[in-house]
Amino acid sequence: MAFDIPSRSILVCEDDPAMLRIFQFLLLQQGIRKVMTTSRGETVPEMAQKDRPDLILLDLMLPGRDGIDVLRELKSTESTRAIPVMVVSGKESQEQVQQAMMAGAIDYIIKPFEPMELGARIRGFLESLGVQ
Amino acid sequence: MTEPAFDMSEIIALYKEDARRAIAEMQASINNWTEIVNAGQARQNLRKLSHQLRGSGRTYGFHAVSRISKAMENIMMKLEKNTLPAGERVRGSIQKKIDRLAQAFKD
Repeated sequence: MAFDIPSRSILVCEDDPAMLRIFQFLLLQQGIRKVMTTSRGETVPEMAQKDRPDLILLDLMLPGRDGIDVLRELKSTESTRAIPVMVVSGKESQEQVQQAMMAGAIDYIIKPFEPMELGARIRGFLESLGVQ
Repeated sequence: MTEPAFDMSEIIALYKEDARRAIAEMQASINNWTEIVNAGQARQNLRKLSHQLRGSGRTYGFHAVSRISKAMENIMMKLEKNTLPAGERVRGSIQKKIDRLAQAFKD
């Protein structure tokens, strides 16, 4: 598939409006036009099945349903298993990082983060999709 | 030549509004001290808000906000684990941190 950032889509699950805004800003800066958002973990599996995003950015501490639980469901469901998930969380213990990576996350970004760094990591990941 | 940093000025003004709202909620929570002592909704709110401000503060360039919020989140976690008694000294410490956060977003 040719490398085409604007056609990529990302689903962001984050319950803090301030963080959600910065994700949208960063993704727009990277040229990504299709950004879907939700603040509730339990809606992620259904949105992922319906919209088939190229990447999911997932917070862990969410109202309603824990992020790790959501991640496990995504990875155990045939139709969403292949969708890459980047965890972006304020939980910084090694145990949490390991748990997320074991559950199938491709990356774990600890909040607070440097906006430019996150933008570059997302872009780098999306670019890697184009050279496969 | 260095790469230009993102110009985040347009969203920083919005962030300040979010933060002020969060700090007002923090104040409302600590005003309900009985719920903090009894592990009620106010305690959960304070834990969640300090966690969120810790994450968003530095990301938006407000490093002191993250530091103060992290200290508050640590207190809230100790209260949850019952390793810190919810006494007047703790209340004073939390209040001081809320005041410092409010000061950080004062125009």
